[in-house]
Amino acid sequence: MEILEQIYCAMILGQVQTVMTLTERAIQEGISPKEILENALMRTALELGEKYSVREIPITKVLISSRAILACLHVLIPLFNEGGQPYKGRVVAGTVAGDVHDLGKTIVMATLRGTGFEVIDLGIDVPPEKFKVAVEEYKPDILALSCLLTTTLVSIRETIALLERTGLRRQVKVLIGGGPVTASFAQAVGADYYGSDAYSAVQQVLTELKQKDNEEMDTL
Amino acid sequence: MEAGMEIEEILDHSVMRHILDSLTKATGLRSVIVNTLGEELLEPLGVQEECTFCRTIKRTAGGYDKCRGSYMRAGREAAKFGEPYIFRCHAGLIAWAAPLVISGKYIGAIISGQVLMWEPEEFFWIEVSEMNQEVGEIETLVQKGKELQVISAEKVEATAYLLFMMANHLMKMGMVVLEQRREMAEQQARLGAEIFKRKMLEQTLKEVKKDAAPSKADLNIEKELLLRMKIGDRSGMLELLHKIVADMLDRYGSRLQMFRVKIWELLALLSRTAVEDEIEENKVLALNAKYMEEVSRSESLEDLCYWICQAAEEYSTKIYRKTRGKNTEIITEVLNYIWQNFQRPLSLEEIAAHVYLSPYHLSHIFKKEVGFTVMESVTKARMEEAKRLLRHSDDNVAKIAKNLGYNDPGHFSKVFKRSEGVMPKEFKRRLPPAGE
Repeated sequence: MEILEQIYCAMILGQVQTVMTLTERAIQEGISPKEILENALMRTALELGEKYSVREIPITKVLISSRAILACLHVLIPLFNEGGQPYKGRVVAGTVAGDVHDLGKTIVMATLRGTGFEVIDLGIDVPPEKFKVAVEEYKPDILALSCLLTTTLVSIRETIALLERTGLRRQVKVLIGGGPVTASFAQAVGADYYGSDAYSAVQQVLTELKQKDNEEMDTL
Repeated sequence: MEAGMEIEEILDHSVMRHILDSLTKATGLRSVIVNTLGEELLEPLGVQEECTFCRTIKRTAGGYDKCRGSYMRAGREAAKFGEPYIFRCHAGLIAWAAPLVISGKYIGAIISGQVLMWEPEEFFWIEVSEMNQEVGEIETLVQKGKELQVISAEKVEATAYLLFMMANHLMKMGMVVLEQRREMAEQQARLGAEIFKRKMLEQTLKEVKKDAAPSKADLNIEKELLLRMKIGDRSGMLELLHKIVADMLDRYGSRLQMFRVKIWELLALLSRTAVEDEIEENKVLALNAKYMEEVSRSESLEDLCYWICQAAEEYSTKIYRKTRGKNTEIITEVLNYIWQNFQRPLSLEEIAAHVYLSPYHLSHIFKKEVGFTVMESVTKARMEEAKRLLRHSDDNVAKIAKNLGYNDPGHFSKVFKRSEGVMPKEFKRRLPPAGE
């Protein structure tokens, strides 16, 4: 759709006002938030991620464009709830130790919130100990671990290991995601869900819940 | 952290402040140096205040801590990837960090920025309030936010890159300083040991009167130093150098200027020896210039000692290089043996036996490594000694010849003439009047 293309272009250029205006217009034209999320927002995020990882674009561009993504999300989030989403559960999310990237996590959190989850954000550079304490305190249904650097994959492993050692592992479902996370890695560390990007991560969770609760996913 | 690896010890504070000041003035952006915990250590010299936005945040209890956290992580990331790290701080501003890494160890960072890369629009105020919920003072922040500088992404990248290159350069300079300091400390330790030995000696010889004027022994040691340098005995030469310098410290240590003069004298001697030994004159001149300057600039005894030892090492390395080879140990042993025994008749057979080689084999490798034959070497040593005796003793030619192991004074004179160009008598006659 043309307007989605326009939103995508504006996001790439970091034109925050334009993105917000176009997003609002798209909603008015009857395009679902889910469509905007998938076809404009995720498309931009993935492209940015890919291009930056090979240094085709400088980090400044990523920083500028990310704002536009967040602006779009800002418009979409309240609309997710409009369907009167039933409470789906509690999520504790964080970027693992040694990593300071949070754009993917932000998108996932926003989307999860939009579909009815309560999300507690632990922030960035979160050590395993802090995750463990949060699991004890908040007793979430899902623990979401995010990372963008291959060097910090080990922190995911350590966090899960700590949960196992302290007998907490069975109490949560662990969702991991981020650029360097692969299916085989997810299997190796024993994660319950895995997303190579934010959107597919959320899809996984919802699919499983749908299977569990027989709920309509398309209430998004 | 290792001693000597703190930023404060590597970088001169006033120099750093000046650099930060210039950076700030040139770019219009405030630059500071932080340690590994993100705490500000050094800021620009001039009255370059932080932007009001940041000041508002840092004034609050949680705000300063968050800033520190942002800087700490940014510095670490920059060091991790060895590149300038451009980031968005906890409050929403753009900043960048250049890592300070020395000997592979991360010791801090230069942080600059506190700007925006976009004109603040409505969404930015939403971001500000969301990102600063814990800090509070949103209304004030929005107000101060309007005063924030807006610069292009290209300018950010260029400034960050320059900052990074500068940080690298500073660390390289710092590396040199560190290494010099370490060498100086080692050298002082060696000299200290030498002086200690002498003090011990003095204690036991308390009743022996000390000759205040430079004695024959001192001149001997100087000659021996130069001879060792000439024949390529580098370690032996350095050993003697330490003795000489320790002695100079003893005599002139309390008068810096006098000490400096003695160092200059020594430097001149070393360089003349280097020239005599056919190191190209240009190279020697260059070395001289360098060391002369360092000696003039030195303001302390430690520095002067350091430089004369550096000079001796460098001059002798150039000579040493010529003589270095697989058989160096043997050669050195031969040379030592010659030096200890030249006063009596010496044969190639005897010398070869001393190093367990056949005379043929020894003469072969010796000539190959050193450039002249074993017996030529013996003659050289004798001629050096002959010259010294001619200079400093009243002995006649016949006596000197005998002392050197020549039974026939005529033969000695012939050898001398061949080596030095004049007859010994003539050499003595031509010497400058007493008092070198």
